[in-house]
Amino acid sequence: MKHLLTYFIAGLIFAMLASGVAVQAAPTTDPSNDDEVVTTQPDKPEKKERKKRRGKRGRKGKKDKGDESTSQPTSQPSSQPADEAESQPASEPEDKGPDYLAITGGIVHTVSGADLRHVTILCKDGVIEAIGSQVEMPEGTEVLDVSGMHIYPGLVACEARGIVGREPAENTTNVFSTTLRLANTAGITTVSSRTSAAKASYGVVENLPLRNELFVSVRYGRTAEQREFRESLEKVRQYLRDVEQYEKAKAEGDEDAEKPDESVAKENQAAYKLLKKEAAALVYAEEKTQLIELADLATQYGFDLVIRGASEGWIVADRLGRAGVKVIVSPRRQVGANPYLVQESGNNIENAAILYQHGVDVAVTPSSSGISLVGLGGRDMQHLAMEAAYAVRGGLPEPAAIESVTLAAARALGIDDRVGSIEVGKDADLAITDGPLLDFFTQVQWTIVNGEIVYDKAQESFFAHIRPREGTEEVKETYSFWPRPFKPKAAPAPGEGGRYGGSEKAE
Amino acid sequence: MNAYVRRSWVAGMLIASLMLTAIAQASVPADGDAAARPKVAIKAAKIITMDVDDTVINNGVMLIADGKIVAVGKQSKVEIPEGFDVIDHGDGWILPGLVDCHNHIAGSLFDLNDGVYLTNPGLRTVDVVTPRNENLENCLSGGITSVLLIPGSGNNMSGFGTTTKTFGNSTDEMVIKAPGSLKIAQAGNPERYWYRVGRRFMNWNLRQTLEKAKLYHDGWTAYQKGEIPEPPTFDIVWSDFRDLFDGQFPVSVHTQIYQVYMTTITMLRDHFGLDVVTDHSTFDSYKLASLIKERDMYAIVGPRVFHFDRRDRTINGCAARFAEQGIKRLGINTDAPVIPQEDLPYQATMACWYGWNDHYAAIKGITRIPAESLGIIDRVGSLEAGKDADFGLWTGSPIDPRSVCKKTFVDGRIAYDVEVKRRTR
Repeated sequence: MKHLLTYFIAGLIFAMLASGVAVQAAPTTDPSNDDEVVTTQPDKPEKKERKKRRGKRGRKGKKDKGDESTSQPTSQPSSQPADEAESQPASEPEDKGPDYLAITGGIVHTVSGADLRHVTILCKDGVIEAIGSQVEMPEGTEVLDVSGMHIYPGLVACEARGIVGREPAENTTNVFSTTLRLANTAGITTVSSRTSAAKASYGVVENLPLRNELFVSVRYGRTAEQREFRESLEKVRQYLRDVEQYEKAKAEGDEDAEKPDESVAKENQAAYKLLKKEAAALVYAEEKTQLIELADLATQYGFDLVIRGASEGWIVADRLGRAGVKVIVSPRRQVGANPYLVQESGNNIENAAILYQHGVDVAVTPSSSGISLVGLGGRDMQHLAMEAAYAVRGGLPEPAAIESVTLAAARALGIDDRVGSIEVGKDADLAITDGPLLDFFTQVQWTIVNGEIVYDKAQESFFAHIRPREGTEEVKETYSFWPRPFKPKAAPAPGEGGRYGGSEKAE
Repeated sequence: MNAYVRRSWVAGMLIASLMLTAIAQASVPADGDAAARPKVAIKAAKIITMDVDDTVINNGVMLIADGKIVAVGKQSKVEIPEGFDVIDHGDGWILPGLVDCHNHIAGSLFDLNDGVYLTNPGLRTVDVVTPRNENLENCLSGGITSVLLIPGSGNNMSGFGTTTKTFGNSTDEMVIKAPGSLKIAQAGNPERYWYRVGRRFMNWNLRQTLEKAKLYHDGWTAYQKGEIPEPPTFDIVWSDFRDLFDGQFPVSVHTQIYQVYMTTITMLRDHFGLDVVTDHSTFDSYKLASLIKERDMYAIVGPRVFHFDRRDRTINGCAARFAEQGIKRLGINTDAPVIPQEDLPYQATMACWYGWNDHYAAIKGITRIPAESLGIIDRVGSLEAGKDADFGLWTGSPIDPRSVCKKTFVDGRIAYDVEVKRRTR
């Protein structure tokens, strides 16, 4: 408990310090001002700002290794304003140029394209700079030889509320938590809570921010919620039509045109964001009737829809496919069939496969949003890849299964411009495994987040002893617990010291 | 109501009940029905027989008739006699029906814990076996054909378990052995029974209960040998324990954590000389593997699959640590419904993921080993001539989460067919 508290406080301090570096332009939510709203969209300007931030992070990382205590004394008030922290040129060390990391050898599963062999992936400042067989490595490039290994994009964990905090992640996540460390051991590099996505790298808070306000959370369970959602959609659609007419009239010089009531947009913010395509709707729905209704609403009103759950999706897969819905499913989740229904109901192992065949974008996540520390393994984020393997049992093609925990998951979250596949220009987030990802003897050997090795199996005691990597010395010898050799100690002579007093204790 | 009306009412009820019985009997295929238990020859690319010699037959064929296995062998050597339907399983595998020696779902889920006393010797689960319940229907999709239905761990000693098939039209048809084991829960759950029930008390409680049982058994044994002239008084509380002390069936012990595990070995195995199967065996129980090895005991691991050692900062696969120290009699369980029964192979997958690097041994741990530990290996757990025709047709190794059980046979009948039933697993 004491340790937890310490970690938490440490995490908090880090988060505070980091907030000075990774300044987040608070995205405006005021719907009345269209010009400002545009800036929150993931567009070019956003990317520029991101790169600038990442550059800073790289330098910051170097500084952390060296003289952190001198440049940023811990006694400094953590509530220091962000601007002040930025305007300290003295503490900024000399720019040593970009960080390069090259990964050579290994089979590269790009996910977005063909599998590549005998290539080198060059990362510059956390972004993939080049992929090819004849990549020129600049001086000072750190080289990681992974011959014989498989290289996958870092896994994307949707619904990882047990690993990452609420939005904004950098203020609410304990980056020293064991679960975050274990997420890295599972090859997970991107984690998402309800509406925000963050990078997972143990102990580094600066890596966390990826994107906020990914979704508008919509409740569509009870009848009242369903009615409310429909009504607000209708109101906003009418409002948008009125606005259009008003602007048209104004442009034609009609001075008497009445301005529509802006309060409609303010009162129905969720629906407004959806219809303005500022965010996708994230809805938790399992039953086929709900799924059909939601798909129809998405078609009728034209908004992006991501459905979490969708256990009965296989029954209505064609309708979901035509509506262009994305789903996040848990193939292992069991939902019993309703015995009172004549029609099909309940879950089906073929769910993911059938949805995929009908053109639905299928992302996979375990039904547990965290990582188990108490021994009940196999159903948590640690085994994200095994969850995808279960979808293969139901008929999902293996490449689609790999995609379901990488690129498709990134697409569902709307962050596929940065993560989810191995492509030039994307973030250098990689999971390097000793076998095919969906094989149950496979373990992650290295995890790379933003071009930095955050996990090396041989260096971390958790899994180092399990099928130790060739060429690395075993961390521990084989266990021998019982019977322990019993060596009675001779009692110390008076005055000679020992456990209870004497010279030993005095030292 | 006059006498005539009452009589006719009674007569009507009798006729109605007779008719209902007749209908019920008509809809249930009679035991040994030729149509229900056809003669079948199954060809497959791989047959994992799980016999004593660990034979694996490539391009094999298996003949079944009257619910029993007639022959297993290579396609080139075994001739398919006339009258046998041929199923070509192509490049798939045939595996013995999987066996789980820790199960609570073969009966009604409401009759798990009778917490009248802390120890309830004498209770039986045989009368709660519920054929064709929903959980059993699901579990067939995982290729599981035999389970040990044991009472819950809410009591220190909760009665006798039943070894049963997972498919059948009546309890009589399903049950392999009753009683199939004695269930003892040494620590953990029974601590919730009453104010400050501790482990020391529970150990004493078990000792005194078992001593009484042994006294009863010794009395009857002496009488049967003619050492005493008068038989002891019959006591229903202790009568089932006679078979236990005769070694007819084992004790399933809910035991885990170093010190509890040690007591299981020293008290139940060494002091009482009982045939102990240690279910669970999780947390740091693997530290006592050498004691298990010395005594040739069975260690069955589950439903937990790993132990997070906070001092060493290591994650230890429980089964892996046992295997590493030379334990061969190593099995896997689910404790269904804690883990759905059909996930038994996935429990073995996890054991492998966490470091049990022997793929074959892991398959053995969900077939032959549990069957051996329950003393039902003469009927199930391997594919040999003369044994029950319980098996699954898989697309590959059951340990691989990507492979599917396509058909499950129990006593030579198709109990589950992927083409017929919607798959939940």
